Amino acid sequence: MDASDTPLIQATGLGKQVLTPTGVLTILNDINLRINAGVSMAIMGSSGSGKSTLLSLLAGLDIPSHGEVSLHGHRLNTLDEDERAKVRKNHVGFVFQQFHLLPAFTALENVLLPLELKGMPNAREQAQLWLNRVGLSKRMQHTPRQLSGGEQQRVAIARAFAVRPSVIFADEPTGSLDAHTSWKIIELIFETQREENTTLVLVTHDESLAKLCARRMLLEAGDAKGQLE
Amino acid sequence: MKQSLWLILHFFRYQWRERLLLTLGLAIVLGVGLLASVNFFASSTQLAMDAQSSALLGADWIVESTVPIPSDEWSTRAADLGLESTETVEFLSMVASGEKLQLAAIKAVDEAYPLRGQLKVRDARGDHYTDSTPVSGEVWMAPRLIAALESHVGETVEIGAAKLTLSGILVQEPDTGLAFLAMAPRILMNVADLPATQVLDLGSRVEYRFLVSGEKSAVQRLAAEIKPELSPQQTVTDNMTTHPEMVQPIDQLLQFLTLSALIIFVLACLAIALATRTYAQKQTDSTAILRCLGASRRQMQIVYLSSLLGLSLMASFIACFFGYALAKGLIHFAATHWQVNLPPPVLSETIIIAFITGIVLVLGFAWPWLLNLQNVSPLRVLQRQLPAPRLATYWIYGGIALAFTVIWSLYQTPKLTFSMLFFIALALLSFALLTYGLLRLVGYWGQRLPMPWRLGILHIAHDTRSSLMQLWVFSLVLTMVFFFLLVRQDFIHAWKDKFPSDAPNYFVINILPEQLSGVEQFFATKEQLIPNFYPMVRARLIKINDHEVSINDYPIGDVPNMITRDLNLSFSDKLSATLTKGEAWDLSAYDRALLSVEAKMAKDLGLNLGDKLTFQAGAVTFTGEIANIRQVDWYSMQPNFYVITTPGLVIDLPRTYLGSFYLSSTHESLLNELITEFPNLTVLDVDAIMSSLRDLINQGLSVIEVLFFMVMLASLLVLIVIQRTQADARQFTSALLRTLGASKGQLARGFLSEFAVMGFLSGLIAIVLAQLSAVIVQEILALPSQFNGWIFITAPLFGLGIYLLVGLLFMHHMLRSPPVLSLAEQA
Repeated sequence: MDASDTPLIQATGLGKQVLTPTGVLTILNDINLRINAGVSMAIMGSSGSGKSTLLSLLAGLDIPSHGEVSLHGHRLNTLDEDERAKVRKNHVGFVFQQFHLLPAFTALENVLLPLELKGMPNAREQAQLWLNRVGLSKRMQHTPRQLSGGEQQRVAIARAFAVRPSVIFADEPTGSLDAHTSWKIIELIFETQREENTTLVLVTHDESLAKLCARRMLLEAGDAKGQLE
Repeated sequence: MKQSLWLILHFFRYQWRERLLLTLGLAIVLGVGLLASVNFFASSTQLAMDAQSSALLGADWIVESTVPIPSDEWSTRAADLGLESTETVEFLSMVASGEKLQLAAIKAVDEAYPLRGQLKVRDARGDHYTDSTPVSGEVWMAPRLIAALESHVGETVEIGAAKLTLSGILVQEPDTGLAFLAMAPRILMNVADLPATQVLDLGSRVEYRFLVSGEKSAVQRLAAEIKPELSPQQTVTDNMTTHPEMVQPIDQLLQFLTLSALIIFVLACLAIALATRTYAQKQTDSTAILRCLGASRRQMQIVYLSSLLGLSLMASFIACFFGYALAKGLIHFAATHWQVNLPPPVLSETIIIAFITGIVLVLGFAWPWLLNLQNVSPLRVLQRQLPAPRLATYWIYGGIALAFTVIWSLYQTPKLTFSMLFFIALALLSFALLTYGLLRLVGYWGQRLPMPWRLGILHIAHDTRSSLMQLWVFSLVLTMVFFFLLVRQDFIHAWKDKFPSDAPNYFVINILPEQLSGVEQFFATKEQLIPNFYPMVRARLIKINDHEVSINDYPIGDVPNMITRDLNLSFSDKLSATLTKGEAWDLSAYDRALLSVEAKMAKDLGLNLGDKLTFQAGAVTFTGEIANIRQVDWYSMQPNFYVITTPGLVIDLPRTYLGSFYLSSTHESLLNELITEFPNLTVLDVDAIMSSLRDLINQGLSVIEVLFFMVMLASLLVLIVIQRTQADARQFTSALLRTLGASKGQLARGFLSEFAVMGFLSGLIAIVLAQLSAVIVQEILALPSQFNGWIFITAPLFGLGIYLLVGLLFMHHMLRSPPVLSLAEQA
């Protein structure tokens, strides 16, 4: 069994329900999936289908109402918030639609942030290296306000990959960008993912984008409607 | 640890760069600074009051004794504690000058006397203060004694066997009291000449006084050591016993200072809590990102706690200096503009208190909000609409409990603390009910307004939670201001009424009935003098309702004084006093045997209306029935009597008259004329006490004005913080509406309607609560209440005005900034 056969992420009977004033609302229902290391997978679906919720459960940002989820051998549903934070710190990188950079930190500091949190050696050099790699060598000391949307997303990508995570979770990474910039960002994400052999879980409603992934999963109103290899 | 340190440093730098800590820092600096300033000011005022009262005692602490004092041993103990001490010996004796003889109150002193205050003497230079005392072989005498003896400076006077030279005219001693000995005119002599007089022997009535002065805690230590050793003939004297009239104003003023500090404390708590809440809200997204990237709760706690500690240490440090500088500035202002001299505050003690208060305030009211940030879900990075975690109620109660523990330990005012606690509980309850009801009403009524105006009203009605918070905080701030103003007004009324500028400063006693018309005639010729005369009959209470009074029945309190010695009774054919029970009488009751009893005496002796009291005056006994109970202000400088009778009951008994009048310093020679014409009269000079009281009241009133300024500053601070907390939301609304085509004028009208309604409602709620709270505090501080109906109209308008004013400052900025910026920032 080679590395790609190892289930880096595994979900069994995963479900999420929330209590609303009108009763219990099921957001996700009985999701089962396995994502092996180095594989890219797209989670697709329309707005409100539960794809971001699924991402949050797989990344350990939230806990399921029922079912099990494990990441890199850690059973996330049994861990408390601090333990899940530790798993995220060591194994996970994120790229968000809204970039989520700290507004007063420079590009370099934003990339440094997870490296310092993880206590990685030569953090500054690593951060500079990654900013060079995403083409922002001249924008290191700029704050997010001084960067364009595409540049901000490049910083976010550098930040996500800099810690050399096992998996990158990307939630609509091009949702706030124009078409031209979007493709550049997508290229950057996939190219880096391949080079670093990182697992990629991409949440998107864009079918053309999803097609770039090795696997696809379609969600409809919280139910998995099929998985494509 | 290294990771946390990196985070701490970068986060602090980030917060500094973003000015996220600016509002919180300013709230701490100004809130704690104002509090420190009040503490400095209170310390300064306390020192001034202590100095004032010590000057009237001639010392900080005194033991009075009718038997000799072991002064050598006590002096050594005092010196060991770094204190100064001296002994005085006082007695009554006849003094001769030529053919003239006069009873005089002699005081033998050494060079150290007085320890506090100064002697006032008269010579060719006029009246002036001096630090010297009569040297051995010389005496100084009061002017009226010199007049009565027809003596002159340089002549010889005889006290017992000693022949001494009159070398000075003594105008005033710092420790003049109203004691028995003070009734006779004063001679000051050197204690070294005492044996030569040979007037003191075993049965002589002598008063020995041991005077101490120095650092307060050392005085307290010495007092604690000596008190248990005192014999029944030795008593400790303080201002409470010597100058009760001084105690109440000082006590009231210090209580008012404490009250002001409490108000500023509450406002500072509010400002810090609000500023931190806003800061925490702005940190929510950053916290979610950091949590998402793997920062643990503990790391977040460390980051925020260290930021807060760093900020609070820095801000408290600045606040202490800001407070000290403000207090110094105000003391200087009082000295130059009001001629009120206050000593500089005790720096070390008050700075420590201010510093600790600052840290505690931050821990109690800022830390919970930041601690709450650890509960921010990392899921917010995906779902921004997730609400920020709500602060657990126990943190709010914990903060309030901590605050009151600090108040309790710092200010030691259980009554005020509890009334404040009660007030805040009342405020919380009534605000919740009142504000919710009022907002519903506003929402209903606001629907009928034209559009631009309706905009603000709808904003209030729809964003109920935010509106409630603003209304709640603003009402609380205004309540504090109104409450302060109401109590301040009562203070000013109480004090100004109590000691008018023409309040009596001299008393004449021993006026015989046959002299009364002559004395009245004497005064009638002096146009400026209109004395009040009070008849006095000395009698001892012997029976209450046929039951003989015995000291065994009343072993403690003031009762022994009332039943073991003669009381001064007065009589009147009409009563103008405040009656707590019963009815006043008029001329028709002239021959009835009725009594009016002072309220405290009635309480101590358990007397009621209808009880019969029997008195003995010499060989005569007489009985009267209590017709009313009278309230007497013992703290006033007016003659007061425990018992007043109807005239018929005592008119045939031996009596004298007491007269009280105001005499300006330029007409003091009239006293000599009076004594010359009526040599048996004794004039009591309370001018020194009156002028001390007036100084005290002037200081007090100035202090109150300064406090008002500080309370207003603290209130403005909170108002600005509230507006800042709302600024982001308003800016976004403003930008959105402008993007949709609203003009600046329309937006301004919308905001104005919102500010006006909020200000008016806050003012209305605040004045109701302030009036209620003021009634409670008036009871505690024994202040007469003043009710002014107009305040219920002016207060809401004041609220409206101040809210508009602060709101306009922020509105100006909002309307000027381009909408695209605001929208971009929100995105």
